[in-house]
Amino acid sequence: MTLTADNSAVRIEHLTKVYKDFWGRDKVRALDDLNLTIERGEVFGLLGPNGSGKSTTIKLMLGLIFPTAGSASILGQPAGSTQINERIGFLPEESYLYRFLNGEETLHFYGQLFKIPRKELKRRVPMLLDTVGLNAKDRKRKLREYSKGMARRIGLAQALINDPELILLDEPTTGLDPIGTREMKDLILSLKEQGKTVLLCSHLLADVQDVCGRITILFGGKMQTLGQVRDLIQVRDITEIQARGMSDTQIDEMRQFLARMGVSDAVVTHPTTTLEDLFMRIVRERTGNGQARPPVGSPQ
Amino acid sequence: MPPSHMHFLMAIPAWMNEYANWMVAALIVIVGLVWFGWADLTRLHGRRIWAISSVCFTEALRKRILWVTPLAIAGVITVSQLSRPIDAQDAIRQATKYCLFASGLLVTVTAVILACTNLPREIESRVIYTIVTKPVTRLEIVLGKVLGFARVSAAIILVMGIFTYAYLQARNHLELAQLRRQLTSLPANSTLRVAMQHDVDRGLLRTENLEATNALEILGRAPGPPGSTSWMQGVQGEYFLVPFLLTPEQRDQLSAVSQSKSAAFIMTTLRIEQRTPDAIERRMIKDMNIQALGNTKRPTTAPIDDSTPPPPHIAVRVLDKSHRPITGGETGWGDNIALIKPDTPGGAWFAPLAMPSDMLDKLAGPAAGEFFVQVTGVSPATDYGADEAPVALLVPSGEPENASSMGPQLPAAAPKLAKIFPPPDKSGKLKYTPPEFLSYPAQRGMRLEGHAAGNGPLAVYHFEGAKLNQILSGKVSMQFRLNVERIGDVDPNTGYSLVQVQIVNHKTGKAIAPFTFAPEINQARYIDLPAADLEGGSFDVMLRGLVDNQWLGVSPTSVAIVAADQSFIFNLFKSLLLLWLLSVLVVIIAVFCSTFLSWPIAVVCTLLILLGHWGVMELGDALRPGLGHAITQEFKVEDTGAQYTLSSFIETLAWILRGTSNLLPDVSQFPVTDYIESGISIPIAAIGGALGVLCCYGLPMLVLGYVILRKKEVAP
Repeated sequence: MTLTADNSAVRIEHLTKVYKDFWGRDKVRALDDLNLTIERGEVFGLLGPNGSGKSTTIKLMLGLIFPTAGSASILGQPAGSTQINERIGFLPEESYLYRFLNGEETLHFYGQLFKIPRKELKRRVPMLLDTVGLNAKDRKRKLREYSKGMARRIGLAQALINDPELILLDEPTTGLDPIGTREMKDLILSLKEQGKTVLLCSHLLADVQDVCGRITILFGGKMQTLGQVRDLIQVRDITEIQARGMSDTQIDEMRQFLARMGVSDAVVTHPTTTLEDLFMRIVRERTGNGQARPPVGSPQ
Repeated sequence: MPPSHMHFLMAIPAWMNEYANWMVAALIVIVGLVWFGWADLTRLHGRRIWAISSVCFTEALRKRILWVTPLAIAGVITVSQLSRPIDAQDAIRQATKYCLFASGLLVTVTAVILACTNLPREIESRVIYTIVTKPVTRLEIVLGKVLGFARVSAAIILVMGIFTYAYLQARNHLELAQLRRQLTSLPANSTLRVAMQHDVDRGLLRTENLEATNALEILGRAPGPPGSTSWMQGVQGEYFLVPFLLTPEQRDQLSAVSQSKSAAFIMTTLRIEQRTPDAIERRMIKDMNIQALGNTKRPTTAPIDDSTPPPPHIAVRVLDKSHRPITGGETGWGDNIALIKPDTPGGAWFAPLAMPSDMLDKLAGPAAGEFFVQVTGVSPATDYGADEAPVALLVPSGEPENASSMGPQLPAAAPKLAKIFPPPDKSGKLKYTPPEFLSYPAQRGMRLEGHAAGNGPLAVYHFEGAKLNQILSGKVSMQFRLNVERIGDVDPNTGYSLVQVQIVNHKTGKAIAPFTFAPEINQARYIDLPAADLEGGSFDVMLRGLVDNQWLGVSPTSVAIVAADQSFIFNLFKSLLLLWLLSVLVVIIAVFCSTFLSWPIAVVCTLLILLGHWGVMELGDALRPGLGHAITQEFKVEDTGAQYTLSSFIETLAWILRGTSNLLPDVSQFPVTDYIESGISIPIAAIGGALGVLCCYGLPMLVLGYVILRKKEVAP
């Protein structure tokens, strides 16, 4: 494995994973010769339908499974090594945590695995629980009593306990309500602002579109495309004009102007927002206090 | 012939065989940690291990594992109340046993289930994802799990230990109160009084350091000074063993004899003294004569002279180093050998016995070299005296030999004979290793036949430099624990057992006046003796049964000096410590199995590893070498090829089972109940032995578990 001193947070070279059966025969080629570089400080999206190789890529990067061929290095060191685990945070697709511990105990446990001093843990744990939106009462409840959304939040908190440089988020918005989804996306963007690298693995395209700079799409274990989101989703043969406060008369005049220019099938109308934006606006208006979220754990 | 792999194993030096387990263990630990896990070893951090162990511990507590302890406690109290002890001491003994058995069962089952299921469940539920993606090495995970479940075991043992102590204290108070009441109503001359008074004086919850005997012999007469003649009685189940340790040259000599079809002899030389038979012996003489005539139906046609002792006969056997008979292929070989009368009055009688060639082959083979010749006296009313080296091997040799010392009737065909004697005496007091005088086994220990006339055989316990702590002022307590077995009719008036004890002090040369006591079957009886009589600590204690048709089962631990008292709670602590060490071994095996097996298979595998050695030991002689031959004989397989195939297959199977069991831990090295239930202080050596097994088997399994987990893909 070659270690690079470049600016890449993740460097994957010819990574291949073939699952074998009991007799050692090839069963599934889950990942096939993947080459990928993720720069430091970017939010990168790993997209693809179920079974496309997204989770396999993440598992290989974390050392949960071992590659059949190729290599992956993270922050300049071999993937899966315990040294590099000091600097990464991982939120699995479901919150696989000890259900008999409460929220605080969970974070203290993971903090101890990073050898974070007790004093620092006492400061950091409540702060993280605030960040992910778990109130004082919920922190003392056992995880088995948590709703799916609360479990996602505590899962995210454990991924951030070590203030990681690289954060791997596997389906981070699964199980979250629209408010939670928005908060998660806001958090990802704030992590980006802090200069951290985020690898987002999802098949919810809207989420990826909102937060990711670059994405790649996997299918059948192979990379299908790679690039900036805005470049990839841009429809080059359609031009959209957006303006605020135009009257219907002005819109008619605009249509006539376009007809004179020879554009026959032009559509000039009011743009729609996303359903998510609409939901957020309504909730804000109804609560009247500018807060989008009712208290977590309270009846909704 | 043994299979070829046995020849290979026999070529391995003895010390390598003895320490093979330790060497394999060290190799696994070194290779596992240095070769595979050096990086992980250098990153090892106690805080991470403690954190992982704390999660295991918390999980067990929050799943209410400790709630099973009240169930176990209720079970112990119920069983204890329903049991019927013989006396107060037995009541405490049984209660102790139940408490520790329940604790052991509880802690073992809990450890197996928790430790076997933990890792597979974490992998299945994917909780392991959030652990291995932290800076935690797989070594820390394995160590953390083991420590966590060891803490759970400690918690269970602590709860059960506190209950055990409280319950035994309560039983002690109740039993002592009852003993005091019984004592007031007991006749002054009752044989039970001494033991009961001893219990009342010293309490029932006591722990004693016992000073065991240096040697136990079963003799026909009281022993004389070293080097003097030792005697055994005929037809009393007594025999002596003469050890032999052949040099390679001597083995070659035997081999050459076998190949040349000439004869080698076992020469037995004994002193004989005969007396007028008593009533029992006369009956024996009659029986022997009838059997010799081949007529087992009474009445006999000719009158039998039972007033004079019969001519002295002996039985000779050759035993291997594990005391199993080496057969010569001849039925009845060595069974009834007449001793030849010496020419000179007062000389030694002798009997040369030619050895079959099969036996010579076995003795000369690579498995032998070390063996015993067993000599039993078979004539009633006859005492057999053994001087130095009563048995020698006579082997034809090129060297001229003065045969006159062996008597005049040696076979004329073998004029040149070399003598092979027993090996030199290790103590240096005698020229050759002296014969060991023993008797045939009873249900427990060796048989000591009783005679009302007081002339039966003696069990002689030699004590050298015994510590004599005066637990009661001016007195030394001696513990007797004998088994009593009855044969035939017992007079109801004298039906209870009676044992005579004689003590001869070697330092003062004084013999303490003989005294008698009534033993209860396998129960400890205490006799308090004046310390002055045992001064110096070097003395012989001689036991003799005083009841006809009854014998005592005696073993080296049947007579002991109470050297010191120890607090019961400390002994209980040591016992619980042994239990905890056992539970740690169980946890390690369970965690090891769970690294590569699903949990149900891991549970079965753990139990097999734990109980495998014990199981094969229980099979015992069923797996002895020669089993294949015995089975082919039993099923009357006549075809030579089939005989060989079947015999080899069974021998190899038995060999694999024995070999596998040697690779498995011996759980009998954790004597949790053995000592404490008898009120004996657990020796530090027992804890050392348990630690040894834990290190020898636990450490390599821990390392193997780590290596397997390190190579394991934890994402399903």
